[in-house]
Amino acid sequence: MSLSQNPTTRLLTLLNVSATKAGSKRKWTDEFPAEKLNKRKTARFADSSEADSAPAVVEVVIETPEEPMDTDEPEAEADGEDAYESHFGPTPSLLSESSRAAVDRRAWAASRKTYGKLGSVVELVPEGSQAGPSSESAILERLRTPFKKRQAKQPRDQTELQDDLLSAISSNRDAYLPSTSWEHKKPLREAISLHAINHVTKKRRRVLKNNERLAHAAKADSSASPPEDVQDQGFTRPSVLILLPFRSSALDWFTALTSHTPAPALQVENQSRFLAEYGLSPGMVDKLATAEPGVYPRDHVETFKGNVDDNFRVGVKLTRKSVKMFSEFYGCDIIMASPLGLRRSIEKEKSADYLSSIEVLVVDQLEALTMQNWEHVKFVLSHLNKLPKDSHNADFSRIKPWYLDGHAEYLRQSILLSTLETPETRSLFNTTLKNVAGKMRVEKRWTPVQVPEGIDQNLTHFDCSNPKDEADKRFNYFTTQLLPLVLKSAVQSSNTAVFIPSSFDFIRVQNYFKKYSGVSFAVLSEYSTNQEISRARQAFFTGKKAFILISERFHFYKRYKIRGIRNLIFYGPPEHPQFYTELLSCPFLDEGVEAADVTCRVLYSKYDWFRLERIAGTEGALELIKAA
Amino acid sequence: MSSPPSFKSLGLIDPLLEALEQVNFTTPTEIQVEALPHALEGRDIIGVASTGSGKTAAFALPILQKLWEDPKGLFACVMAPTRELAFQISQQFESLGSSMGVRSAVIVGGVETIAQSVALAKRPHIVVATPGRLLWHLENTKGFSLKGIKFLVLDEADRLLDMDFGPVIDRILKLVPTERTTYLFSATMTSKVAKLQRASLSNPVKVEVSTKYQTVSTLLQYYLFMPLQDKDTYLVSLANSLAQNSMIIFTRTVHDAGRICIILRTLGLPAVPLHGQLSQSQRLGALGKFKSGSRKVLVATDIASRGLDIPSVDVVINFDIPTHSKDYIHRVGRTARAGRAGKSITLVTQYDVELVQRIEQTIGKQMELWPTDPEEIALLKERVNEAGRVAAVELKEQNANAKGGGNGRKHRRDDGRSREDERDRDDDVVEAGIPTQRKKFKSR
Repeated sequence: MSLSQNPTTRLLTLLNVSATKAGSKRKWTDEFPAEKLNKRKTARFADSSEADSAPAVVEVVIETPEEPMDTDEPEAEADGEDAYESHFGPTPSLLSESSRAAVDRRAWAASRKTYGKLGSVVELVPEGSQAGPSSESAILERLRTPFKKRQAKQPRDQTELQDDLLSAISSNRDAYLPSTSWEHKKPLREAISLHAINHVTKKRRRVLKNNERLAHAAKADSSASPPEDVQDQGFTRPSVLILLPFRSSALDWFTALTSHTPAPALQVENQSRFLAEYGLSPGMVDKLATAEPGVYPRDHVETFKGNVDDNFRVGVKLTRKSVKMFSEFYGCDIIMASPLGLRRSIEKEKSADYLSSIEVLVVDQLEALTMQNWEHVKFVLSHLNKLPKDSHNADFSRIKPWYLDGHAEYLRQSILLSTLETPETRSLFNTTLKNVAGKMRVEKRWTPVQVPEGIDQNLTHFDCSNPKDEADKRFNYFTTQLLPLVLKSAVQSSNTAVFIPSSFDFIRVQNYFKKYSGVSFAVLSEYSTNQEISRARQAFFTGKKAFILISERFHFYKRYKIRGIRNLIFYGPPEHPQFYTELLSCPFLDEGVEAADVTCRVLYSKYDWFRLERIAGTEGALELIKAA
Repeated sequence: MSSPPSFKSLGLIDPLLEALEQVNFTTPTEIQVEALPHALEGRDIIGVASTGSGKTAAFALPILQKLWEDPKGLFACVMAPTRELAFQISQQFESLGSSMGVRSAVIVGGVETIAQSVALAKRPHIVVATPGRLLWHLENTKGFSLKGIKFLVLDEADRLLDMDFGPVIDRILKLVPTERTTYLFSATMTSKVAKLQRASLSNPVKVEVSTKYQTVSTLLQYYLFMPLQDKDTYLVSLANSLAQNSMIIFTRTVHDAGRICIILRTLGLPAVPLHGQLSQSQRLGALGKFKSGSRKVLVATDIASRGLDIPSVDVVINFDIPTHSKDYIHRVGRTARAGRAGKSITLVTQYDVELVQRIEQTIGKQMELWPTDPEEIALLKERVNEAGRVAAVELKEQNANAKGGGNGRKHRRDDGRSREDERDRDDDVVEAGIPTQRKKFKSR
């Protein structure tokens, strides 16, 4: 799927693809030639070595010419213990008054386990319930066989990871993987999309079987009332939702989904249109994808290569013989969309009925979604599994009882993937997932990030007892203690960069600088135009401006290397640990800078736990919080 | 008859007897005594009994008993002409069937359809519906049918079988099985055989407790004669003198109901309106306030004239004389229910004399003149006229607001629903029995 063969334009890292059309000017390389950027002195990037050693991702599409498997469509029903039937059947045993009450009270029984390659896992089960059995046989034979064949050709490590994840999610409980590594993204995607296709296929088979039964019953005795145990569907057809930040992510998932539907047996309809709309337009070169490893940080390349439009939604319909992209929402099985794309659709149609019957929710790249607009994610998730406003011609005699009772959210399976954890994503996991089958969270112990040697890192704690006051306390501490201290010092009050993780804090600090501080400062935010950015960098580098305010989102989207920094103030620890390393390496871009010339201050409170943990490592962060 | 029959001797099963005890139904009423044995035999029944004589229980009990023998979803369907009546019937079913765990669903217009579809998909035992919305669901809700029902009940059957509801009922009847038990109940029954055939009864038993259309003997009926222009004043003086009682004032039009309500409120008598141009929640709210006793005066159109069982009503005032004598019987049947005493007072102007005479002929009784004090009327007149002007202004504003919101009176009625709902209309849109176009209200 690589579109790197078009060498006319260069894509940097913008949200809007249209801005990177061939004509638009890119100043990036003109100002700071690439070879200079590589001139590092003592600084070493923690993940640059990783990036160097990472094997080039080669898409291996294995086409196993197999017998048309249609004959086995009415495959012998495994038995009554099928994971799909026991969880998503008409009367799931897990769904009881007490289990729902326990979920609503948020009474979960927690236990720790080690789950093979997934590592240490916290399992949460509603109080008084039993964890469902996990079995590999949950995957249909027809899907499993080709998958096993392909697995045989990939590294063992990945195969084990996939099997461990599949056995974990086969019991249809929620899974939260907040620290996946970039190498694992692809195998995880493939395993989850196998699970999703398996879900859709099982649902379709059940429906077809019941259709047949109804037809038989009608033929045998037209006057008799039809069988009543045919409740096998939701209000609307879509049962899988995949929430993604960018079009390029949708392309990745498309690749993963279609890898389970090999070509001879299944046709992909509208494939070329999908590739055209979700890839880069012809004649564009993906600068990130084609750059030498090490020029850009790994995470930046992974996140921003390809089409980075964040407004899209597409329906995927699976039938016995085809995968149809761009099918109408009410006639599709899988919806792939960005939160923004869905929100706009919901607001335009004034209904989110197509989200009423989602049974498997996948949210990928949470770390990018938090950098976009978290409100949109919450908006979309709040519309899941609600009673629809219109019947959309649903057959009400076929709707599963727990949909009628409004209990669908207690059975929905959610799978959340992220490379790092934020309070938002944790709260999503803790409060909005109500699956009575339980949920699991993968734990990770972090090691400290690497920083240039010799820099004195001054981590300053401020007291805060209530998360609600956290922003105010931080602001007060910054303006009354930290900033005056910095301004007193002749050395520290110039060439100083202030890095601010939250956008809200950023605006507040910017306004404060405007009004009170009386120092000259430049601003780099995600809303800055290219012109503003170059002006700001220039002014800061030449010393015209003493301070520069940088928002985390700016760094996330643009990844500029800021020159002329001698003093760094972190208003809070950055969400992305590598940013800490990168910013601390910035001073060494300039000639003749010694580590002793650089100062670094980090402001933190106990509510910065996740971010602190990633920078100082799990143990280090514990000590820091305890010491305070 | 040797000893007074009890529910037990009528052959009811224990769970029902328990429930009856709980709701304090001790002895069966006449219609129940007459109808239950036939019903338990499985016959079709045409039941006619005067207002407030326990008709609802008379058909609910046999249905519940049969349901106990063969419990299944969508067992019986009950149709009623107004939404309020449908809610009331459903409540009665649930309270009588509480020990059996009976589930019933109310399917009426003016409420979101999707929630009703969901309720129907849960296969309630009893469906209580107004015809228009029921037909809508039969035709539009996929997977819902009444093919399995065993009982069909038309409450206020004469009303349901007349010309307004007729075509809808015909279509519904085509969608229910012919092998079923059918009950028709009303206080007044049409004698036209053609109409009865619509309901396609098979070998029905006619159970009549009173042969002539009757009002109950505990009801004292009065009239009040006055010139048309002083009608408002007389009403206020009447309402004032009866202020301790809970009363229903019936008007012919929605406009009058709103206007009188405002006049009474302006003069310090807390009144609530109930008519078809209120939303369903407003209607239920108004009825709730009146039932609970927090408001003593209900100003209603004919929407409230049939079937509603509000035990505490002491007085019924007919502000406008009903054009049909049947409607008169239903209206005054809101009071003096189940053996209690009650009064009805009909305001008669110089133009209404003939109508009153016709009513008197139908009920076979003479009304008495309600005494008034002409001095008091003269004193009140000025204040009432003032209140009348206030009311006119307020109504005008309300209308302007409704239209300003892009929500004219016409539009409010459909709520964006199909025209089918329109047939689930209320009795105040068209005068009962006169299926002409809506008359423009003429002010005097």
